[in-house]
Amino acid sequence: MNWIFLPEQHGTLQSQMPLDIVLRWWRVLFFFSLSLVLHVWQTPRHKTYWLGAAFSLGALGEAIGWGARVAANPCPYSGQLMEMQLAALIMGMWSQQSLDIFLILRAKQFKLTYRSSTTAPAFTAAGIYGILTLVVPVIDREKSLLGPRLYLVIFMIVDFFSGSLQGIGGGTDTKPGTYTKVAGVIWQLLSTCVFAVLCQWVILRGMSSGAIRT
Amino acid sequence: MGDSARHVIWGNPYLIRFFAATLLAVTCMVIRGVYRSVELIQGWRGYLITHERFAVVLGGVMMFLAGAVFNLWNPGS
Repeated sequence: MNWIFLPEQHGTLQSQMPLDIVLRWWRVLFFFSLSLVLHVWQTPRHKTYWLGAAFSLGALGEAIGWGARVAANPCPYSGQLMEMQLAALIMGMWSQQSLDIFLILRAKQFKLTYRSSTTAPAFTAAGIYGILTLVVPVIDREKSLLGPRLYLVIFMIVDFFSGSLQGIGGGTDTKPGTYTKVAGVIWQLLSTCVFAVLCQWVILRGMSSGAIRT
Repeated sequence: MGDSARHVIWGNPYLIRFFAATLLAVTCMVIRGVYRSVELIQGWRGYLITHERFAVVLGGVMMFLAGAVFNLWNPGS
């Protein structure tokens, strides 16, 4: 039942993974692909190109990541498939693409192991930030703590740094490296919570005062 | 402002659904964040990281919901 990439066990071990686990991966892959197709199809119809692009890329990154998991079924310890999965998850976190690739290469060069690192799904997150940017002018600028653009800018910058922390932590195969990654993940959790509060602030205040621009 | 404007919001099903979708997406992101934090705090041999179903349900499904609610209630509509 236990399954994880163990970098120290690279090689061509044939897995005996239970069918239900593999089926679960297939299902997740299917749903992300469905979401991707729908977003690509809906975006031109609703003319929300930036949001559509963000959500599409987010779904694409997740689909590739879960696809790599499905592909890894016959050989879960394949370094190549681990890298594919990594690359896909990097796709989901656009901001540190170059950083992570650099870290993978460096890890190879020094024969270090690169821990499989699932970092922020930054595209989907960016899409959600963008939604608040879109909503604030509709409700009322006065009901929001920040200007509409600031939400997108601030939280994407914060995401960039938390993603970098996670990438650096994932790239260093030591205890401090893991702590760095934990710090990045918790930072991201905090920023998501702050965003959630701001989001509720806008929506609840907009609703209770009933202010709306049409 | 006032009652008439309130009526505009509550009477606008698109807007209400859209708010609900946004809050659901943010909730999913927070759940995923909590899961990821606990998973990593437990370490690379911890219970959560070595059991696939948690990654699928708390990671994959949450992110799917966060993206897919906007398939159902697209911000453009």
